[in-house]
Amino acid sequence: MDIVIYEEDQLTRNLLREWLAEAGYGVRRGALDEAQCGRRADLVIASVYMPKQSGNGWLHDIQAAHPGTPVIAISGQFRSGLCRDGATAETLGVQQVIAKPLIRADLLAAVRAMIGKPC
Amino acid sequence: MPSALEPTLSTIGSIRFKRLRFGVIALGTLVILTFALSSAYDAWRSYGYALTATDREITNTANALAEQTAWTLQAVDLLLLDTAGWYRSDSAMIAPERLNSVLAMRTVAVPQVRQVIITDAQGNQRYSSLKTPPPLHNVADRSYFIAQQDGTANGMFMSEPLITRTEGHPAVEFSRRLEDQHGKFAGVVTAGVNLEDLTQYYRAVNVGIGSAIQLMRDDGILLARNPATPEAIGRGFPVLSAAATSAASRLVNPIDGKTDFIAVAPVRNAHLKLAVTRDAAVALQPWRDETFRVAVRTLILMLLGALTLAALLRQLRRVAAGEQALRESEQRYALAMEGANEGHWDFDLTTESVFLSAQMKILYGLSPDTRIDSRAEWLAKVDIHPDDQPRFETAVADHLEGRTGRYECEYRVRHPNGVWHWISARGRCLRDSSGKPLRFVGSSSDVTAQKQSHADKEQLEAQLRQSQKMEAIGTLAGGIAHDFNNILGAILGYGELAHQQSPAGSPIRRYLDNVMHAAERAQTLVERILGFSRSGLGDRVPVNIQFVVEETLELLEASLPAGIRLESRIEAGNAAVVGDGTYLHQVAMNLCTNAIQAMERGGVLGVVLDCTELYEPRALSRGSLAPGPYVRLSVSDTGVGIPPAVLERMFDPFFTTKGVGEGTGLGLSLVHGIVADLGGAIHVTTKAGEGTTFEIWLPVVGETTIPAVEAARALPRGTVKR
Repeated sequence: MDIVIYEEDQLTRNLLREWLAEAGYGVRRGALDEAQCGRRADLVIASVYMPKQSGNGWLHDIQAAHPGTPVIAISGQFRSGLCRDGATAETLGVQQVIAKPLIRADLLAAVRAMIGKPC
Repeated sequence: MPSALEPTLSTIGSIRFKRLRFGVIALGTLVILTFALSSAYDAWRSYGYALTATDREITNTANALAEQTAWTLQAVDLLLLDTAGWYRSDSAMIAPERLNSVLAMRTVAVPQVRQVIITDAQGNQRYSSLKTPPPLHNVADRSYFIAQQDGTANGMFMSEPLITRTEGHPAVEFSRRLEDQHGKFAGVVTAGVNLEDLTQYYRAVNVGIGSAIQLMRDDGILLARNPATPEAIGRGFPVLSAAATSAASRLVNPIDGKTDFIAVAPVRNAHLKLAVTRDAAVALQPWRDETFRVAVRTLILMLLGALTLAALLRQLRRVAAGEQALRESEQRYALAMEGANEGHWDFDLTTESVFLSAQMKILYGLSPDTRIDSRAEWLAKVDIHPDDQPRFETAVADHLEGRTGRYECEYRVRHPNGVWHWISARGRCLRDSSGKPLRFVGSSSDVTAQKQSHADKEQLEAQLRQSQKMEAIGTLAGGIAHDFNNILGAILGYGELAHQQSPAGSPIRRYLDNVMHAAERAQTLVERILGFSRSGLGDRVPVNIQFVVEETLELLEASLPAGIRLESRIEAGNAAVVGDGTYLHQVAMNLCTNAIQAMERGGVLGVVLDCTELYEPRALSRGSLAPGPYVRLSVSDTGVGIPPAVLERMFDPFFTTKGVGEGTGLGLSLVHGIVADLGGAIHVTTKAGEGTTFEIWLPVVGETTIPAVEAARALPRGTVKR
């Protein structure tokens, strides 16, 4: 199970890699030219900066690079208490939203709910 | 406002002017015509008088002269009769040479007789009364002899004028028959009356210029005339003698060919007529002169009258034109004033009298027909705002005392309905040569709308500045939150991993617990920053606001300080607000906490939640609302109130009145951020020493019975449990 991570912040990226690898998922850093290269992934986790302003464009680019792949958007600007697949997720055009700071249990639960346990 | 101007005013004026002009023309013409007619009537009357006077005068003259002539002739006849008697009875006894002197003696008494001659039966003149008798002639061929000889004379006979043969004078001979004792014809006694003497006698009678006296026989033979016309004497003028004798008539006098008035009187006991004629031209001359004078005078007066009339009409036209121009000018001025919504006023300082235009009274909220005549009445009827009163008085005094070149003042007046209106007044006073103010004139207009729009504009600009500020802070806060959350994520994430690895009960685990706890506090702070900066992204679900407020009050009541009483009225029913229940909870909680903190000495915390409907846009102290249904949360305290300086800035982030470390300065900015995010607005009313009321208006979107907080809790949450 391959999970592609789009996260500028190295601390968070490393943390995600740590958590997901420990849980048994394959994790790699994403690049926007992956569609051309023919690589595919099972899940995309994308960090969105300023979701109100530039977030949409960034997410569109990512979804174009991974057609058909579910996306979890993470952002420091999502309010806590957000429904994961509620109105905000719908607005952004992603399957799940999770507010930062991330909690390991929440994240892993969400990932499991979407793509199941790693084989 | 009813227009004070009638569009037909000028037409009415011109009709009035036309009527007036017609009246003046008619009256003037009538006066002139009456005058002319009266003059004509006078002329006609005086013509009648002239005729009557002439008639009376010449008739009287004719009668008098005829009587006089009759007397004269009677004397002549008496002389002849006496002489005839004497001759028959006594002459035989007198020597013939003495007869002449006896005759002369007899004749002396009758001066008009020139000479008495006795002629014998053969026609030979025998004796004359003249002292020196001229040569005597035979007069048997004379008419006076023949008439007596034939006995046809039958008394005294008067001859036609003739030239006497004895003296060669023009004369008229009067004859009587002489008879002898047997009654046989013995000759005639004749008395010659010199025509010149007769004429001389009439000449002595002044009958006036242009008049003539004619003595003639019944058959028209002219005997004498004054003025003398020797060539006419002896000729017959039956036209004259036959002229009517009653009233004066007019005819062409055959003697001189002029048109004359004529009066003819018969001479008594003689076949004579006396005619007095007067030249009509002369007789009527005074009348003509008078009439001419009257005519000239009348014409001059008529001309003067006509000129006066023309001048009057001209003046009238000028006055009317002036009035018209004035009316038009006034109309134009009034229209301009009305168009500009301006009223004007005129204050006479010498008499303290005041004129206010109708529009001016309307500006003051008074009826246009309110009577205001003096300054005292003016000031008594106009309710100037107490705050503006000193400024108004200063502006007036400054101008009247010459410290300002123009009077300009803006002040508020209260209309009877209680609404304050802004009046902008401008004016100038007129002074005498010594600079003493005489009149104070100016105009005013209602500038309430401008003032309002100016205030609105300022408020809009303030709101714009505020929102720009919030935008900038939001961008900043968003960036901070992003970075902070990444950092916090790493701290919490690795902290948790380390926590798992640390042995339970070891100091390491305790340290890590504290790290986690500190990080969670930081996370809460970042959460708040996101809240007020409105840069955070959250879900919006219908929230039952009543549940949220009730829940908040339950929490509060448990910890309400002593001395503070809660009075609540929660009646929003199932009204739903689209938003985040947690945030709404925070709004209510923050407001109540602030209210409690404002009442250090106790008081009443009032919380009211109700629904209301707005039918027109409303601007509140923070934000403005479109028409529609709203839920209103009102939180009031009876505390110290908010000073204006604080009121201005209290929604700014990090602004706090509390001491360092006691407050974050994010409470009200969070409230503002949340309310603004939900499309609501805030209204704050405060009074020093009496308290403050916060009203939160939130748009209602339908109804819901599910408490939003519960709904949110039912779902997995993206935060740690606090």
